[in-house]
Amino acid sequence: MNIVVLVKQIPDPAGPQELNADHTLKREGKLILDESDSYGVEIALQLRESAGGGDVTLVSMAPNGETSGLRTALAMGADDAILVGDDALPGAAALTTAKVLAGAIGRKQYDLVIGAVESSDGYVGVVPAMIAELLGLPSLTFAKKIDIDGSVIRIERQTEAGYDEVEGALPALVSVTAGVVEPRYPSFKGIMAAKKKPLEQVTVADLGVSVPGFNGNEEVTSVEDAPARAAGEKIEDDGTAFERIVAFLDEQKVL
Amino acid sequence: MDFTVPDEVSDVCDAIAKFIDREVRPLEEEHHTELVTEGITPHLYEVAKGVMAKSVEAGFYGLGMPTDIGGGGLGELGMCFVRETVAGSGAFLTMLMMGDLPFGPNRMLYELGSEHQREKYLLPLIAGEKTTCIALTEPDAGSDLSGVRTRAERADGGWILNGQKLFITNAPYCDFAQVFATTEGGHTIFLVDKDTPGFVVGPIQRSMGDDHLQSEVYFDDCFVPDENVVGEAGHAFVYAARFLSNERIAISSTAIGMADWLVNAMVEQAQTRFQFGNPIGHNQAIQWMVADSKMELYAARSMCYDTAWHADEGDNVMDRVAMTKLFATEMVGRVADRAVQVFGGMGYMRDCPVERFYRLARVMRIAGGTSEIQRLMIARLAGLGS
Repeated sequence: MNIVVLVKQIPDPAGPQELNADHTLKREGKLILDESDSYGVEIALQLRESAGGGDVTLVSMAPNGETSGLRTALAMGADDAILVGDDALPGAAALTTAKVLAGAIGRKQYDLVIGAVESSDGYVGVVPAMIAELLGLPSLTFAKKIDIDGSVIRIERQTEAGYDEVEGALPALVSVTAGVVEPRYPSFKGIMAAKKKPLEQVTVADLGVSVPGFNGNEEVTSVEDAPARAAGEKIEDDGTAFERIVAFLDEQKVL
Repeated sequence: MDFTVPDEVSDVCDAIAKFIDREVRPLEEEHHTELVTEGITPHLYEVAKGVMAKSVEAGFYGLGMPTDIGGGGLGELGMCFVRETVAGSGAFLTMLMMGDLPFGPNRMLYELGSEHQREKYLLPLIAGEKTTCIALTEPDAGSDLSGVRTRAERADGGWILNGQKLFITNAPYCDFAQVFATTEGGHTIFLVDKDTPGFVVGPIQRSMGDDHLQSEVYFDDCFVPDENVVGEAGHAFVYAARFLSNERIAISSTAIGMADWLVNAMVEQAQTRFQFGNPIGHNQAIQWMVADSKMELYAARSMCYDTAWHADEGDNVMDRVAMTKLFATEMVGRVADRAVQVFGGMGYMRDCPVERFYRLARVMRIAGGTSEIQRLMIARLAGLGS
């Protein structure tokens, strides 16, 4: 079974973050594997193991040719990677990103494309569905469990109330939720082996993808700090505090 | 020389840091009260063994051992970065995680071990199936190893051991011991299974650092077969000097990781602790403690990398190792002392990790060769003394 995993490399969330003049996130220096994508990589590796063979290919887009995050996923056990790097890519909007990634995915023979529900830095959450549309694939989203049976894929789709069982035909694209599996650690042997794995670096022109303008029709017009948390209300208990608390919770519609 | 951290080492350090965050810190939180009030109990040792098992599974165990037996093949310099990462995490339950001396596999068994010893002892060690200890110190033999009184006499097909050891780290929990004993014409190293008749482990000797990993061991007409002699009889101290002295680089990099953690803790405390309306870091007295600590940490780190790099080049590093071990372990003692001072009353409390580091740092000037022995070696290698 051949699986493509969409992998985003992001600035370390534990470090300080800066914005560019156009309000997009600065992506300079080392970029790490988005934690959200480590689940997709793990699921792909498990599906490959269950199928008894095949390739797990990573597809990524990074503005500065950075490969640290990809190396981590290769060290986990993926077989190869395609990295789209292009000076014009920084700040690319969701649709542009989807077109570029779809173009890169098209370079491989695949049965399944796996992506995270959303990235940990952008939180846009539409790229997987856009890619499915561009590639003409069934889109199965919010998967917390995946089963493959021949040419049929079945997922448990996470919902607020529980999950739905959804079925589709392969090839398909599936977005997976975080926390559904325990991503393996890249071992030192895996890290050394990853150095020898194929990592193809291509430009947008190499993909033959036509994008109207890298920023598409999206623009971040302003960025504001999150409002500071307002001071809470202190209630001195005169024996009726519980009534005030119940009334407050009722007002918040949490009862 | 180039101390740039190679990508693969940087990547494995990142993976180890993540492993500690995900696998170890929740355990430290879960067992916080037991850790703080009792230290490493037999129960917490089992918890640490669970961490070890996961480390083996994740491929982090025995990173410094050769690849042909399942190790990572990292050199001394690479292992410095790894050990700094582990020690710099501040997590106590990482103690078995890397398989460092004395718990896990070592170069002596790799280089000198027979096929039988490799199969029965070394491979289970690197697989995390067994742990070991090094039984060397005795009541009258600490720094002066020639004082070893444990004696091995020839017997049919093997040797009979009699004697006493003490402060033997991991003796209460190990599967076998690497025992130094006096034999005719010198000293010899024996591998002694824990369940061998006549091999008795005494009660745990509780320690200042709360690790509680030490105990006495006794040999009472304990029979050890010939096949359990390491290398050749009579060469124990040559082997110890050749294979075990690099433990001092490991202790040094651990001291550096601890000092790094302490300096970060001091800086954070100096920035966030307010007295007289200002962060205490506004006071020059505090600034200087931090500045001196950073300077000494930088010096120790530079020495350690240089020593490790030369060791990887195959150079004779006896004097460098002694100087590095001496400076790094004394440095972490001074840094821990300043950290307690910066934390004030809180730094004196068991609930504050700084307090634990202060106690843990103390043994580093003793274990693996005291500061005085390091000075003695440095002076002798400079051509002074006998």
